[in-house]
This record gives sequence, C-alpha cells and structure tokens, in this order.
Amino acid sequence: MSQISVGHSGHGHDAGHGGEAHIAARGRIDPALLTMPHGAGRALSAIFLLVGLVAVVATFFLGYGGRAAQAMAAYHMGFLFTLGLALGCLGITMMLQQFNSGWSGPVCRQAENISSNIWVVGLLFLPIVVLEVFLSHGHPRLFHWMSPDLLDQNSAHYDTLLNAKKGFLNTNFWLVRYVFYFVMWMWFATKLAGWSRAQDRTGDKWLTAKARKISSVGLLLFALSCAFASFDYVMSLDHHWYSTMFGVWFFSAAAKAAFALIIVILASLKLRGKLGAAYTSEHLHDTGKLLFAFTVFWAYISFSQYFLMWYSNIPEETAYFNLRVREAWQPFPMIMVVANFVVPFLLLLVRNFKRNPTILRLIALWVLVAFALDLYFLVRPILRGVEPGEGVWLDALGILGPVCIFLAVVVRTVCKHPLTLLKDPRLHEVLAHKNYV
Amino acid sequence: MARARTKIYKTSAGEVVYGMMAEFATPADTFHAAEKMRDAGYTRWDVYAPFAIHGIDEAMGLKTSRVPLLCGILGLSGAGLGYLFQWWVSHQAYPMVVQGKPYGAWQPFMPIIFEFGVIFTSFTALLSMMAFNRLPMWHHPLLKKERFLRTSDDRFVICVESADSKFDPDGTRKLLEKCGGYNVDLVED
Repeated sequence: MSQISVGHSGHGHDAGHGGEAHIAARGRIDPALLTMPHGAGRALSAIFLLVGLVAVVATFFLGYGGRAAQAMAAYHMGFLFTLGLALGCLGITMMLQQFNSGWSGPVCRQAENISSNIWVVGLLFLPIVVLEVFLSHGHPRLFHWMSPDLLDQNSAHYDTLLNAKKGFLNTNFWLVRYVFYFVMWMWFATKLAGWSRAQDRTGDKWLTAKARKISSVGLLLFALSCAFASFDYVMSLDHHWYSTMFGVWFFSAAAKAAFALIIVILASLKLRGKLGAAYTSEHLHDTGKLLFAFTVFWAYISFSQYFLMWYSNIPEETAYFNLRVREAWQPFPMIMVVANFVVPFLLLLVRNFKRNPTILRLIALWVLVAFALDLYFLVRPILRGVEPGEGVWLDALGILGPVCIFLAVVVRTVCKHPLTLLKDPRLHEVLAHKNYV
Repeated sequence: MARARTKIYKTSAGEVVYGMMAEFATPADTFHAAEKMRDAGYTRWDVYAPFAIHGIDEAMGLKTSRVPLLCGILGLSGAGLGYLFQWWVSHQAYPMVVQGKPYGAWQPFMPIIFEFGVIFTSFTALLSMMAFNRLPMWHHPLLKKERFLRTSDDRFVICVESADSKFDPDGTRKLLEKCGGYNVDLVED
C-alpha cells in the first residue's frame, strides 16, 4: 500500500531518475531477504545430484540388462522434461524483456537462473546422441529413421515416406541442428542472464534496453528453433507422423512447466521468509494467472491438434493417436486431459489459491508431475509391445535422472545470485504492483 | 425499491434525508477520509471522484465482488448446457451420420461448448455487475445537488446514506468535518 499515488507523493515518482537505485533501499526491504546466505542450498543440491546420478547409472544398467530401448526412452523423457523447463524459461525471459514487464523482477531472475543452465540440458542429451548415432551399429533404438536400412532401395525395410523426408531428416543435418540449437540457446540465455547479473552490480540501466533489443530477435529465433527441436527430438520418434501444430504444442507444454517451476522456486523462497515486498501475494497472484493462462493454452493447442486429425482422418496423421487410444493406452488420453487441464484449471480459478504460496506451490508441483505424465504419453507408446505401466520403475528412474541433475544445478544457481533483479530501472513497478481485482 | 431503514430522518423543511455529503479537494484527502469512515464502522456510503483512485477499495473496506463467483458457476453451467443441446439434437432428436463419425461424438461439440461457456460468462459478468450496482438507475438523489456535479470535474465527495445503521445527523457531520470534509450538507431524497 505504500505506493498508491496519494498521500505519499514524492515516494513513487522519482524512480528511474537519478541513476541507480537498489530495490532493498527503495522498498525498505532488509537486503538479507534478497540473497541466500553463503552455502545455502548446498545440501539440497547435493541430494538432487546424488539421486540424479544414481538414477542415471541405474537406468544405464537396467538398459544394459536387456531393456535397452525402454531405458533410452525413459532417459529421453527425462531429457525432454529438462529441455522443456530450460526452453520455457528462456522464452519467458525474452517475453518479459520484450514486453518491458516491470512487475516481474523476481520472476525474470528465476527464469534467467533456469534458462542459463541450458548447457546442462545439452550435455544431458549427449549420451543419447552417442548411443543412437555412434554406437547403434545401424540399429538405433529410439530414432528409427537413423537406420540406413530404411533408405536402402534393395532392402525389405525400404521406407518411401522417409526417403521423401531425408533432406531434412538425416543424421548429419540432425547433428548440425543439435549443435546449432544449443549453441544459440546458450548464447541468448547466458547473454540475458549475464547482463541482468551485471546490472545488479553496476546499476547500468542500458543493459535492460539491450536485453529488450536482443529479445526481439531472440523470440523469433526461439519460436522457430523450439518448434524444430520438438520435431527433431519428439516428433521424429515416429517419423511417419507429422503435425504442423506440434511445435506450438511443445512450447505450450514447456512454458506451462517452466512457469510451474518458477512458482515452486519463488513460493518456496517466500515460505522461507525471503523476498519481502519484492514478491508479495500480488506477484504470486499474477504468476498463478500466467500458469492458468498456459494451462488453458496447452488444452487449446492439444485439442486443436487432436480435433483436426480426428476430423480429417488421414492415416499419416491419425497414426499418432491410433497408437495412443487403443488397448492398454485407452484410458491415458482422458487421464492426460484431467491431469493437465481439468484439475489445474479448476484449482487455479480460485482467487485465494493463487494468492497463497503453500497452495499455489502444490498446484505447481502437480503441474510438473502432469508434465512428466504428458511426456510419458508422448514418448512411451512408441515402444510397441511394451505395455504402459510395464517396468514403470525404469521409466521413473529414467525421468528422475536428468531431471534431478538439472535441478541440482538450478538450485545452486538460484542460491548463488540475488533472488530478484536488484537495480532494474523498473523497480518501482515491482514494488507498487497490485492487481486491483 | 424500498429499503429497510432503521430510522427515517427529515430536514427542517420536512423532506426525507437521503444522506450526508462532504466535499474534499484532493484524492489524498478523500483517501484518508475513506479510511477513517471505514474504521468508524460505516457500511452504506460511497466515494465519488472524477477519476479512479488506486487503492480506494481497500481504503473503503470494500469486500471482493461476487461477480467472479457467479461468472464461474454460470460459465460452467453454460458449457454444460452447450453440450446438452448438441447431444440432444444429434444423438436423441435427430441422429445423423456425419462423415462416418459416431453419433453424439463429443469432439465436434467442443467449439460450441466453449462458445457457450464464454457467452454465459460474459453475459453473467455484465448483467450481474448491473444488478449489484442497481443499474440502470435513472435518477440519484445526489444529482439534485449543484455542488455534487463538480465530481465530474475537480471535486471529491463522500456521501453517507441515512440507511446506514451508524448514521446520525450530528455525529456523521462531525466525523466528516474531522476527516477534512467541507461544505457538509444533507442530501434530500
């Protein structure tokens, strides 16, 4: 209430003038609330790392022991989970900068923290690249289109459809794209995070303008690369199938999960008494609304993709759903709709749930679990002959591995840097933020 | 609409009193006066200003509106109704094969269900907002006051209705004056 434009004139209007300002001074926040104490988060990070490494090793050995394809698919789901989080956060960072969003200091900082670790995601994908491209001996287990057999006209497995796609879908170009995507994402993520951290020290307000400028180019490249990455890493698992909507679909799922993780981080900090006036129930309310918006967006895109394929009934499109609505997979589509849409939609409609850190964090955790389930539904059915639920511990371990390793790094990053932008020129907007609804 | 009144006040000229208004010169004065009126326990009163004063709802102690809840309930019911209509038409009343799809398949219903949800929500929002605000209101006692008309220009007014259980001609006048209000005046109904 200290920033209403009445009664305290002179308090809210000098922002942006007179050079740098520190959010702690301006918002009368104890500076200790805006940083984590030295060494904080180490235990949590160590636990995540340990669990992650154990899970990855266990996945590897279980795969080695005869369930190779399933182990790789499980690990791939874990990789996609971290890719979704990191990419979603990169998109969110650039969107917030592009919109010149003033209220979102802590949200922007956490999005930067997560996306600046996208290099870990790139490394996490290396085992799959090595196993599929270099050690598969012509029999890839996930990306079947890599098999040279399929393009051999004399082979019984010759695939005309793949032959038509080989200009794009060939191993060398795929590897080039892998390097290109991650180098580009890393460049944008480290630039944006680096500038905002540099601003914390120097107070240079032009860094904000610079971030906004590259975000405009960045968003365009991000939209394209995100879509093509989803084609490369998810859609090509079933190389006969194609959906022009899939890129958007993957982005919607990723952004939803990314907002959920940001909420988990910020609500946890809030519940530990951190952030003070920089992140109140007003900010929480708005991050909750964004989670709600992306939940609806996910449902909208998912349904639109399904609806058109259902109507037109063209075999190369329906192949995807054909695999996922039959036999043991039959209950899954509805489980997906309920877990990913109905439950969070109804819960997030309630105003008080969005303003309560404990409840909102629970909803966000639910959304993250639902995202994992969504990836399960996306990737796992391609292992024909392996029933859903069969070897579910292997699937769980596979997902847990990359996710825990990624979270270990994220926890360290979150604790290392200030919890919000400290000297952003739009600080007064962070502090004055109110919903009025 | 006759409202239950605790007591009917009359001016010396014998007119029924609608309430008591006080003028304020700045939004800040109005804001702080509103806080004092709220703390004094008044419930049936309002602030009139030429523009929105941020945070005035909290200063007045206004509770969250019931409009969102109604919108939620009616929006979901509308969506349900949208499904019911289509299901009745294409599954019960006149089943027809379209493109070889099953009778009463839910997929093609979805866009209409969505539209029904949206239209019910938006109409509920508009109509319930009007109902809660007693709109359309063709006349308001305050509009008879020449001085009140300046609230569309450069004056701020707080008016306490005589229907407020705490209303009392002397006490309310004193409080309004203490809050910084001037030209405190009775408003005839």
